[in-house]
Amino acid sequence: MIRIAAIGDIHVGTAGTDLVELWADLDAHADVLLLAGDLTRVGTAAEAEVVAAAAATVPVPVVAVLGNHDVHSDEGPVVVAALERAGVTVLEGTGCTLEVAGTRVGVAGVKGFGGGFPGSSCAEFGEPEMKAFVQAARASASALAGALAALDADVVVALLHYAPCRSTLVGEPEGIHAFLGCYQLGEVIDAAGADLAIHGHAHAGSRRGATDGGVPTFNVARPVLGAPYTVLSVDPARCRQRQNHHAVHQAARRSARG
Amino acid sequence: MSEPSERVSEANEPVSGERRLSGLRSGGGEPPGASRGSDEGRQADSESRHTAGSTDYLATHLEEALAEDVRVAEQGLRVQVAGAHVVVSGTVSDPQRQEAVAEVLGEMVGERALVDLTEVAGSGPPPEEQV
Repeated sequence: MIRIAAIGDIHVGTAGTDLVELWADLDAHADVLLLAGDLTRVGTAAEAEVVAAAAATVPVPVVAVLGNHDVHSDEGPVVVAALERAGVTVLEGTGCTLEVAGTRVGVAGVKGFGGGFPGSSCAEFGEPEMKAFVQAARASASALAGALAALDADVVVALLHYAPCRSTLVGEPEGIHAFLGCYQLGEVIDAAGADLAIHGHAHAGSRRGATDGGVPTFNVARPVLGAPYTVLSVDPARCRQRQNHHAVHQAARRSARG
Repeated sequence: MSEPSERVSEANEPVSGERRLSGLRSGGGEPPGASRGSDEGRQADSESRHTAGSTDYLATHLEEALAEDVRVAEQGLRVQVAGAHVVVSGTVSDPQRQEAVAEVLGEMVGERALVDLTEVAGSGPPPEEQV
């Protein structure tokens, strides 16, 4: 089993964080820690240094994406640089592969964006602001698709801040679902045949769900977890079966299209 | 997981009576949102946008303040206005943020009493899932 620890929405300010202590023995529970964005309160350099200092103490590899809070102060690159100096791999339309007990764990990451889900999604039409909103969602999904396609791994994980499906938003007011994620992210996760998806952002959402294509999806926002991380135990054999099934299905679809 | 704290305060002891939503003077000098994050900016916002209208509007403006004021910067908090009470709920990241919620709302709720049902993000045992 591969043990993936994950958490998002830790919203660390300059006053420090209890996570240094709570992550200290993480290697006893997990092989890697994935951070699903909103690591800082408002994305300042000072806050990023606090998060970076906490991440530097984690005794397993750490991979992260940023969230909307982390770009609020328009200092996203500064936040990324601080995390990278601490040894964190920060993904945005990119991926990485970790070797865990002989298994290649691939992680493709993107912040993502809102836009809504089937039945209540936004279209790129009308005002420039509306077009830009939808374009941002589509660009993000496209970047994720590229990162997923580039992975060569036994276990494929999509790491996001925004949600790729509705089912992990249950608990949130339906009226704000369009600001919590977009279906395009789920669509590319399904198309790539990822083994699981991890996101945050939805503080009042649900812990476990699935994309429309059935990819297990986990909302790891700290308010949802009530804990400093969750541990996802992943069976590489089941992932191989899932990926083989997906490849056969995709080949059949291509064949049907002629 | 920390227990939800329920604190009722007579949050009508702001810096001055001018900060209360009731009896706001009209015509702020800055456009709405011009100085978000500062007392002055938020107060100007309130002044230009609040009237003695819907409590839903008030609740929404309070939620916006909790998201936009950098002392709190929490988007997941919910505010309800019920008669003489303003009820805030949701999870904040740390005890300092919880104090800031009361501080920010205390500057805006006027005569109403603040009921704080927020809780601090938990540090319970990590839940486990099989994939």
